[in-house]
Amino acid sequence: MTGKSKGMRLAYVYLSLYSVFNLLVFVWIFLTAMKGQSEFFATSPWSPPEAFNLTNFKEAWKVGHIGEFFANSAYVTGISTVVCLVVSSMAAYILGRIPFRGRGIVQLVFMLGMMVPPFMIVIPLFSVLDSLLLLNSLNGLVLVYVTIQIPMNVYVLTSFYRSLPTEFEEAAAIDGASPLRTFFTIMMPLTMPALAACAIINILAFWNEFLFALVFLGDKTKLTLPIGLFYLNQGAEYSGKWTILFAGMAISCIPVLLLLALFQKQFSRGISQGAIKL
Amino acid sequence: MFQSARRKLILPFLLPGLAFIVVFFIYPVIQNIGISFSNWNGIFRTNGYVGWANYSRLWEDPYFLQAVRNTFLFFGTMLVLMFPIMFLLAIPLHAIKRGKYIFQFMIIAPVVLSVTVAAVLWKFLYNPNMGLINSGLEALGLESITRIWLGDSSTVLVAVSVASIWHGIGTWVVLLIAGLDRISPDLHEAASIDGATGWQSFWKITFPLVWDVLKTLIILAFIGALQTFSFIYIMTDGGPQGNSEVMGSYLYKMAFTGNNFAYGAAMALVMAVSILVFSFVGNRLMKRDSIEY
Repeated sequence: MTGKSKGMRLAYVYLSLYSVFNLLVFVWIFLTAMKGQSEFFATSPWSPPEAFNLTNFKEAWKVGHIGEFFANSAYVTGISTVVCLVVSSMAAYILGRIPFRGRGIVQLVFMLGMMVPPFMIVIPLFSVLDSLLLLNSLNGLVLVYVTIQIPMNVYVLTSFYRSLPTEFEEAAAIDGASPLRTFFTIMMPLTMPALAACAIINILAFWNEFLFALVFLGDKTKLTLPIGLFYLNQGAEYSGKWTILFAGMAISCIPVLLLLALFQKQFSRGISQGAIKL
Repeated sequence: MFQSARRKLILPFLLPGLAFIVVFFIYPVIQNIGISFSNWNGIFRTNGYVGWANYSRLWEDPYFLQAVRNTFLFFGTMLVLMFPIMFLLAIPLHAIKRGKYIFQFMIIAPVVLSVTVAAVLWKFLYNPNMGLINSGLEALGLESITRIWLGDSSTVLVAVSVASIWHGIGTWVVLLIAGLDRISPDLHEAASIDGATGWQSFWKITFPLVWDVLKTLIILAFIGALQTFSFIYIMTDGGPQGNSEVMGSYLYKMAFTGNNFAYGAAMALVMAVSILVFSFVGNRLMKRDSIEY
């Protein structure tokens, strides 16, 4: 018994060390974002700021265009997430509950995307989007984002639909509800746990996506946060405006950390149910 | 009646999803194969068929071969560094009862950050003049260890992989815990009654039982490592002298900086085929009778 409690104590010590390290990293980003430009170069990177001033945040938002990048990311993430969930739910409902000829093949077509790296489609997509006049457009990026998450969403949702009992649909049919209405008002809401897990994984994937946004967006006013921050970093290497960059990084962390704090359970469930996107 | 009414939904419900997949995924995949056999280098599309020329050029391109070597080295570093850390975090986190939520939050937190934030952050930590690492080492009187971490060919790959491990470890911990959850706690209890030490109980019970999960994780790590791009691109852009160039960053450079779409497409196909082959072979090699207790 003593061995076990000793092991427990060790577990806590170990986890605390790691957690404190991560906490300090986050705190350090925020504290560095509060340093003045000259203070930043004059003081040790380890020293705390002389005063808690938020001017860098304001400047990053306006002058550094973080405000625009934030709005672009929110737009792309919001629309892509909703469209992806609806489209995937519809397909998953059929694949999970209605037997038809060729179901195996359709399912395979949906799953293919999980085996192929994004690099395999990025070059041709560049010309596909170009010919649709959707290059350098947030809506073009939305179409690509919806597509890359459909396989995972369909996979997770199909198995969830398959596990639901048939009584609900039958009862609704007897009450005279059309299949379309039954789907949207009864079946889709029943998949809430799976939808929530997919939603959070999608949101994080879209909010942070790097490669496609880097290749498909060029116009400075249309960048998403990850790309905007990347250019801000490149700028800082020359102009030395590190404090604005740090403020921008701090701003971009806030929504995702909040989201994780609120939906940690859904996030873990999403990852372990096959939403692996590495 | 109910069945036939429902069957009317099949086509309209499948079509939107299939349209996305066909237009923005399957069509590009097929296109990519075609482009890799063409001589499309430049802004305007050229469709001249050049056979396997792009592929044979890859075979003789020293920069590509270096990138392949670095990609495998990167995977090796991931295996050696990440898997032990994953166990060291997942096993305690799985065992504890109180405070689980907050510890898990702290471990997962970096995962939700954008790669840009994680990569820029670590790039700054490694900064030779302003970074925390060198200035910390100096404060401790360890000037001899300080170096230009990302500018030194002997440290650059490890330095980048540390950053990438810090960013992604939460996902791996969650996946491993999902595997640990399937092991009945009775087994460990029985073992400890029989006098087994914690170490013995790990090697004799936990490890064999999570082997299946571990196998999947190793293959996933390989798939991830082959596609490494963002961290390298943001932190080093392949430098110094190509010492951290990986397949992904070289592909990007060739296709989008050098406008050599055909050559990039050939690399992408090599990457995709390697992923398929290695995950299949890996799965076979690591096959081992799974244990039922």
